[in-house]
Amino acid sequence: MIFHMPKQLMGLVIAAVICLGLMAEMASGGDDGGPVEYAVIVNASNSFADEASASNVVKQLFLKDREDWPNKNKDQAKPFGRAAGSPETKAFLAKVLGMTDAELAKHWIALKQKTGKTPPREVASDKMLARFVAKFPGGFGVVKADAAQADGVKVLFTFKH
Amino acid sequence: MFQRSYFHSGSWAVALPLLLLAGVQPVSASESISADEVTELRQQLADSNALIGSLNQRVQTLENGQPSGGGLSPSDEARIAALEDMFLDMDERVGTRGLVQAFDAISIDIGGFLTQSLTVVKGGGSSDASFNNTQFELLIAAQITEEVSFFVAQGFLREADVDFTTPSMPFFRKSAVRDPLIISWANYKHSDAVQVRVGRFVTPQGIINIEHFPPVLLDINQPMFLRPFSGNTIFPNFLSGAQVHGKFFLGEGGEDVLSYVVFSGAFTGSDADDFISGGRVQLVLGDSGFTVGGNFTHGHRTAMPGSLGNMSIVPGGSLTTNDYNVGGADLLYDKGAILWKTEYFYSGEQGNEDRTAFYTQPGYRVNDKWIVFYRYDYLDPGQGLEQSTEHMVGFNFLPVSTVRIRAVYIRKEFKGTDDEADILQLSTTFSF
Repeated sequence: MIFHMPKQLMGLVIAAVICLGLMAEMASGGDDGGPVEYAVIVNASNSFADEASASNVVKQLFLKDREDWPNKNKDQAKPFGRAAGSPETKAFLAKVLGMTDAELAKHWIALKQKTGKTPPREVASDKMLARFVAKFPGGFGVVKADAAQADGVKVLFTFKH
Repeated sequence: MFQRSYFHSGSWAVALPLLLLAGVQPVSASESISADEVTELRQQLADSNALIGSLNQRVQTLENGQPSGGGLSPSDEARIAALEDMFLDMDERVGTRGLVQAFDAISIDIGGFLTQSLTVVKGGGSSDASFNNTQFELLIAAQITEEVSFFVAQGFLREADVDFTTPSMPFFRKSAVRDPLIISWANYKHSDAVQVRVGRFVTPQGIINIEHFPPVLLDINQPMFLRPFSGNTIFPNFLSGAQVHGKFFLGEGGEDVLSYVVFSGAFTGSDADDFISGGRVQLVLGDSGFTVGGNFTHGHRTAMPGSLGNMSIVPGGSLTTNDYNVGGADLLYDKGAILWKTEYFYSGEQGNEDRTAFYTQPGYRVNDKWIVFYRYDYLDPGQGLEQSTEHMVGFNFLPVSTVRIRAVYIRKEFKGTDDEADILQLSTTFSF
C-alpha cells in the first residue's frame, strides 16, 4: 500500500500536468486558437506604399470619408468588404477601423442619409476578393494572409487578430 | 494498414525480379558467388527498397490531398460551398422577379425612413396632444459615371404643427399634407479636393443642419434656430444653387481632415433674386474626437409675413427686409461614450435687430443601444420677437441600428411673457 500510493499519485500528477499543458496551449493560442494573420491587399498597379499611413488611409477609404488613393494616379478607391460577422470583418473592425459593429452600422446610416453612399460590396471568399481587387486599379480588401499571394494583387500591410 | 501491407508485398514484387536478374542466374551458372557480388546485390536491394519507400510516400501525399473516391480537396469544397451560398443568396433576392435597371447609371440605390411622433404639449392655460407628425422620405442615389453622382430626398409628410402664437395656450393646428422635394443634387467629383454640387441642398452650415435627417438625430426637433422646417431664422435650412466643396488630408498619415465648402443659392421663402452666399471650413483633429467648424453667410431677407412654424417662435419667412451677415462657430466631440455638439451663430441684420442662436447638447452612450442626452437651446430671433429658451432631456433606444425610439421632455421658456410650456414627445424612426 505504501508503495502503490506514490505511483497513483504520480499518475495523477502526470495527468494533471498533461491537462494543464493542453489548457495552457489552448489559452496561449496554439496553431488552432492563436492570432491569425490577415493582409490588406491592393491592386498590383497601386503605387501607394507609405507604410506609416497605410492603415489610416485604408480606414478613410473604406469608410468613404476619402475617395481617391494618395498614389501617383489618384486611383478612385473601390473597397470590398467581407461578410458581417466573418473572422475577416471582425479582425478588420478591431485592428484597422477601430470600431464596433454598432458604430460601423451608425456610420453607414449617417452616410447614406447625407450623401447616398452605401457600404462596400461584401465578397464571400478570399479568392473571389483577390480577383475583384485584381480587376480594379483602386480595389482593396482584407484576406487571410495565406491567401494574399494571388495574381494581380499585392499586400499593402498585414496585421494579426 | 492496407496500404502498408500492399506496398510491403509490392516491394517483394519489385525485389524478386531484381533478385532473379542479379542473383538466381549466377547461382545456376556457377556454384559460388563472390563477396563483392553479394555486397552489390545487397546495395541494389537497398536502393530498390529506398525507391519503393519514396514512391509509397508520394502516393500517400497525393491521397491526403484528395479524398478517397477521387473527390475534391477540402479547400476546393469550401470554395464551392461559398459559391453555392452566394448563388442561393442571389436566387433568394432575385428569384423569378424582374430585374430593375437604371436608364443611364452605373448603380442606383434606394432607401428611406419613416418617422412617427406623439406629442403632448401643456401651457399655462391649456394642453393638447396629437400623433402630430408622420414623415416618410424616399432617398434615391445614383452613380451616373465614376465622377458624377445624383441624390434626391423626396418627403411625404402629414403634420399637425404645434402653435405657440399665444404661448400659454399651445394647440395643434389641423393636419397638413406636404410633399416637399427636400434635396435634389448632382455632384461632380474632380478629386477629393475639388467637387461641385448643383441643385437643392442642405445649407452647409453648422453641425445639425448638415446631419439633418431624423435617423441620425437624437431629437427630431432640431434646435430653435433651425425651426421651422425649411425656414430662414438665422440662415436658410436649404438652398437651390451651387456649391464647391472638398477635403484635404493633413498631418502625418493624413489623419487631420480639413474640409471646405463655398456656396451660393436662392431660398424658396424669399424673393427669387435674393442670392445667399457663404462658406464653411471644418477641421477634424485626427482621432482626438474633436471637430471644429467656422461658418459665414451673407444674404438678403425679404419680408414675407406668415404664421409661426411648428414648435417655433418665428414664422418660416422673415418679418423684416434687410441684408444680413451671419458668423458662426461649432464644436463637436465624438469619441467613446461622449457625443457633444455645440453651435453658436450671430446674425448682423442691417437696419434691424440682430439675431443670436446658441445650443449645447451633451450626450452619453450608455451602450450600443441606449443614449441619454440634454440640450440647452437659446434663440433671440430679432424681428421684434421675444427670446426663448429650451431645456431638453431625453433618451434614445436603438434595438437595432436602423430603428431609433426616442422620448424627450422639453421645458420651453418665453422670455417676453414669462410663459412656460412643457412638451413630452415620443417618436420612432425606421430607416432602410
